[in-house]
Amino acid sequence: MSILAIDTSTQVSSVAVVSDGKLAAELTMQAKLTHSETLLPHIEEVLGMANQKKEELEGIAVSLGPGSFTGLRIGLATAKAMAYALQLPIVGVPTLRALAWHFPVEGFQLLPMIDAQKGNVYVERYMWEHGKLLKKTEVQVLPVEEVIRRTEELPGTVVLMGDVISKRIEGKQTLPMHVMLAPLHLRMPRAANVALCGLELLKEGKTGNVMDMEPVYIRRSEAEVLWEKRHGKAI
Amino acid sequence: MSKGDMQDCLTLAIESSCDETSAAVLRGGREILSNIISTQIPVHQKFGGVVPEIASRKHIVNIMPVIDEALREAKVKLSDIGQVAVTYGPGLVGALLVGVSAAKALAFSLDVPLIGVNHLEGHIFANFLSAPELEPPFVALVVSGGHTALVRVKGYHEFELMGQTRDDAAGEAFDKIARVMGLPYPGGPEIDRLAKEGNPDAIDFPRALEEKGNYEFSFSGLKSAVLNYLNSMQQKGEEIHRADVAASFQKAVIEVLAEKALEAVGETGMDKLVLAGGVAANSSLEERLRTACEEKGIRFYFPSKALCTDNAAMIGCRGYYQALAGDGSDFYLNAVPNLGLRSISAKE
Amino acid sequence: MFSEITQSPYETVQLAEKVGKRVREGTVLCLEGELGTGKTLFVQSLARTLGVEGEVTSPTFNLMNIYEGFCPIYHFDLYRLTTEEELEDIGFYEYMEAMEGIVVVEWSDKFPDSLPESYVRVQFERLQAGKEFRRITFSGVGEEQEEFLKELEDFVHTGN
Repeated sequence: MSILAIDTSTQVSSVAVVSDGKLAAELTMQAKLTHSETLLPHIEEVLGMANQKKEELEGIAVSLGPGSFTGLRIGLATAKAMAYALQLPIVGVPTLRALAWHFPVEGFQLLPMIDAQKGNVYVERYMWEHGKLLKKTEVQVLPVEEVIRRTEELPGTVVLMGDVISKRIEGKQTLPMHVMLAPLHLRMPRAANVALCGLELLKEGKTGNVMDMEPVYIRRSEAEVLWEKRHGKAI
Repeated sequence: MSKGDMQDCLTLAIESSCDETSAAVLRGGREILSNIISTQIPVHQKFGGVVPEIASRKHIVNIMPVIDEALREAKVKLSDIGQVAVTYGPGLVGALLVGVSAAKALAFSLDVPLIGVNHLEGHIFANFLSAPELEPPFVALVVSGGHTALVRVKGYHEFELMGQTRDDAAGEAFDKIARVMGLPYPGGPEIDRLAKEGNPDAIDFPRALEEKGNYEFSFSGLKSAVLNYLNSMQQKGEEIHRADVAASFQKAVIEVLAEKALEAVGETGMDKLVLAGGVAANSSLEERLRTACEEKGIRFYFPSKALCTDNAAMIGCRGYYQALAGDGSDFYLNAVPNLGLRSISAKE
Repeated sequence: MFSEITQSPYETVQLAEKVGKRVREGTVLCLEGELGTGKTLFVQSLARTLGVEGEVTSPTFNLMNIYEGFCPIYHFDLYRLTTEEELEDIGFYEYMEAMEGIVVVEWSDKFPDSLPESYVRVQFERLQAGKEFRRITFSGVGEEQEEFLKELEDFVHTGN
C-alpha cells in the first residue's frame, strides 16, 4: 500500500512516502516559525524521490495534534484537499502516538511531550507490549516540572521525547536516574512515524472524513480544568 | 490557452482571509456559477460553548464543505476546473493559511495553475461581477476594514496606486472612535446609526493632507482631534452630544474620502468612480459619492451587498484576469497578512 | 526602568530609532497606552530602523503583521481581541516563545496574564504640559531584561 504522510505539528516539517513495505522517501526539516511555504514543494519533491505518482497513492496520513495550531491547520488543510481531489482515504494520526513509534521496544515507559507554551506540555504515556503500542494515560496538560516529578513514580526506564526536550529540559532540568532523553534523531516528529502509525489505523478502518476533520486542540482553559481534575493522579 | 479557450475556463476560487470561508466557481471572468459562503451551509459544528468571533478554527472545518458545495451548485466536477485562485493576503494569517494550503494542494493534485490573489484587488474586481458592462479605465476608492486607498485602474492588469493611508484605515478610525465613545465593535455601523440623530455640522473636525494632488489619507490626526474634543469637554464639565460627535466625525471622514476620490477622477480625466471594499457598506459614504457623481456626470459603481462582503467570486474574477496576464503563483505561495496594494505597469 | 519625555511626534520617532539600534533578536516589546499616544508611530520608526521598507501600520484589523527587516518582526495588535481563546487561536504564544525575530505587541495590557515571563514594557502617557507631550517609560519584566535596559538607557542618554 502506498501512502503519503505529513507532519507539521511542530517546528519540524516532515513528509514521507511509504510503499511496497519500504520507506521510499522522507524529507524532514526543522524550520523556523512557519513552514507553510515549503510543505507542498516538499510533498512534490518526496513523491518524485519515491518515484510515486500522486494519482497512484492509496491513502494520506496526517499528524493531527496536539501541537502548533497554525502548523496543524496547514498540514490538515493540505492533506484534506489532496485526499478530496485524488479521492483517497485520509487518516488522522495523533501526534504524541506517532512520536512513541521512535522506540518500539518493550519495557520502556515512553512519554512523548509537545510544547503547550507558558511552561506547560501536552503529554501521554505509552508502552509497547507484544508488538503493539498501547496508550497508558489520556493526554494531560501539565507544567514540565510536574511531569518530571511524576516520573519518579514510574517503574523501569523512562524515555522522554518531543520538541520540549530541547526547548525546556535538556541542560535545564535535573532528571531522576532512570529517566533518559531521546537522542536528537529520535526526539522530534517524523513523517515516517506518521506513515507507520497511519498504516495501522488504515488497516483498522479508522479513516477520517475530509468534510469535518479538525486538528486536536487542547485549549488552555480546558487544560486548566483537566489539570484540576487530575491533580494528584499518577501520570 | 488561447483567449477563446480562456473564456470557457472554469476557475475555482477560495477565500479565507477573515471571518468567512468562501469558495466559488466562475466560467471565464464574469460568469458566476456558484458563490458559497460558509454561513450558508449546515456544517456540523463540534464546538462546545461560544465560538470566538476571531477564529481561524472555523476555516479548517469549513474549507472542504464550501469547496464541495461550490462545485455541486455549479454542477461541475473537480476535473473540469482549469485553475485555482486563492486569497493570500491581506488578512488574518491563520485564516489565510487554511485557504492557501487547500488551494495549493488542489492545484497540485489536479495539475492546474495556481493564482494567488490580493483580497483588496478582489474587492475592486467585485464590481466587474456586479456590473457586467463595467470595463477599465476607472478610479477605484478602496475602503476596507484595514485599508483605505485610491487606485487608478487603467486596465485589467494595469494599476496605479495613487495613494493610501499613512496610519489608520478609515474603518479602524471608526472602530477606535466608537470605542472611546463607548459604542460596541464594529464601529462603522454603530457610528452610522448614531450619526443619523446628530448634526454633522455641529463640530468642525480637521481634515489632514488636504493639499491638492495628494491622494494619501491620514486619519490619526482626526482621531486625535475627536479625542481631544471629548477630553476637553469632559474637563470643562460640559455635556457631550454623542450623536453630534458621531455625525461630525463621520462627515469629516466621508468628506475626505469623497473629495479625494472626486479629485482623482477629475485629475485622471476618467468618467467612472468605483467604490470597493467591505466597509463600503457604509450607507452615508455611498450616498455622498453617488450624489456627487451624479452632479458631475460621473458614473458611479458600487457592488451589490452579496459581492461587497468577503466572497470567493470576486477572487475568482481577479484571478482570471491575472491568469490572462500570466501573473500566477508557484507552490511556495505563502500567506501575507499585511499585503498591500501595488502598482502594475502595462509591461509586466 | 527609565522614562523619556518627548515633546512632539518627531521626538517619539527619534526615540524609537534609538531603541531600534539596540534591541536584540528574541525580544518582546509590549506597548501600553491610550489611543493617540504614539504607539504606532513608535513601531513604524522602530521597524524602519530595523530595515523594514514597506508599509507599517497598526494591524488592528489583521491582528498580526509580519515584516521582513534584518530579522522578522511580528507586530501584534490585541485591540480587537476579547478572549484568551482568541489569543491562543492566532498562535500568539508560539510567537512569544519562539525567540525568533522581534515581537511588538500593541494593547498588551488587555491580557496581562498572557504575557511572557520576560519582556520589555513601553508605556505611553499624555502629559498636561503640552498637547503633543508624551512620557514614554521603559521597564523590564524578568531579570534578563535588566542588563538590556541599562544599556538602552545609556544609549538613549549618551548615544553610546
